[in-house]
Amino acid sequence: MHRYACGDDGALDEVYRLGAPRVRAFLARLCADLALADDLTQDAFLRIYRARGTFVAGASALPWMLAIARNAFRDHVRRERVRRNYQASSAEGQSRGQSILPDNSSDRAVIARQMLGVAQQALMKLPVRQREAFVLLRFEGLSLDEAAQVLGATQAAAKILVHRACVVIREALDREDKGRGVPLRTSGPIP
Amino acid sequence: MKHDFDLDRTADFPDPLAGIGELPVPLRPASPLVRPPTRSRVAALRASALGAALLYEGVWLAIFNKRSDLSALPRTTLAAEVAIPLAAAGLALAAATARGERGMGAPKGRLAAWVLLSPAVFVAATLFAGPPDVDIESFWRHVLRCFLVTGLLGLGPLGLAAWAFRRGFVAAPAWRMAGLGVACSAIAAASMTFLCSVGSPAHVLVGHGGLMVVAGLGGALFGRRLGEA
Repeated sequence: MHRYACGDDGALDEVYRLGAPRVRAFLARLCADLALADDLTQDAFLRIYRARGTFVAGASALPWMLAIARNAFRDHVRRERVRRNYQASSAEGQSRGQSILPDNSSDRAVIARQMLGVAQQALMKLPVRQREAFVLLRFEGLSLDEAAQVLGATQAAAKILVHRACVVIREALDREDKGRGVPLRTSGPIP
Repeated sequence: MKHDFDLDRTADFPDPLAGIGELPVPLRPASPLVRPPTRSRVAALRASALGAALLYEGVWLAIFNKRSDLSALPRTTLAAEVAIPLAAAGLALAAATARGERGMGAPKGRLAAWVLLSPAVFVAATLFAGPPDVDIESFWRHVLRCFLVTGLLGLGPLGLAAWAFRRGFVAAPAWRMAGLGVACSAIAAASMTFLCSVGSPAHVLVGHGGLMVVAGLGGALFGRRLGEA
């Protein structure tokens, strides 16, 4: 990113190769719709091109890119709100989001997929800001300081957002556990 | 609210899209037809904007009649009157344009504190340094005239700042644009010192400093649209 910001246009391919998977994954987790995430990734990278001159030398590129991707996502949410069909498209997105999970027919895998579906639905029901904070900290591996910068919030505010998101998702998972009678909670990769 | 919430506990939650990083990404979008500015070009553009803003102030100061008591005014008094708004401008400008530890500007809390501190410094220093209030028959007429002239003096810097920093902030653009608004109007307030001889703190605060509030709020309202990258 530093080379690209200095004017080396050839570095763009490398920026995209290294940055696009992370940006796309971040956006997919926010909107639970791979097709929409792809569109927003394109939008985010157009913004990254335009803003390359503002990238500060020596800074970490990932939080900067994620902050721009977040701006693209929030603009999309605003546009959808104006069209008054955000909820409809979000619900549609949930089902499409689940369809990109790895398929596995074993019993444990089926239960795991159900749990993931519950987690995904709980995530999508969160207010956008809580969802962003949770995704940045839990899935994108950003530190609290980095996440707060990406969110344009104080560290305390970011922590509160994550805490609230955790409460909601945990309640949803607990409800699912009770309904099944067998707890299944994993932090590792899903089979 | 639990501020002591342990963030490591988020690791308990499963990742619904754990394998997404391995999926192939779509082709990258074509580069824009117009080559985006490089870092050095952005820096040069912003420096030029600052220079042009100062030139704009100088031109108006040359056009307008100076205050009648300018030659009789002690140098230290004049310097103090100019330094107060300039200090406020420096604070707000530093807050808005700070690169921050991660290159995304100052953290939100510090940014907000500095942006709010800037007009607070102006108010406190004006009240402290200004001469006691004198009865002015047509207070509001004078205030309105000075407010309009300050607006004219601030118009150039505000426009130049909006242009030079358009789509330039990846995070907290509203606060950063508010900081730029406050800084530009504080520069205009400093210029007003050479034009207006009314030293009453109430007059200076409302007539010369009122634009800081207006421009700060304007920056906060339109900052996201103008300044967000």
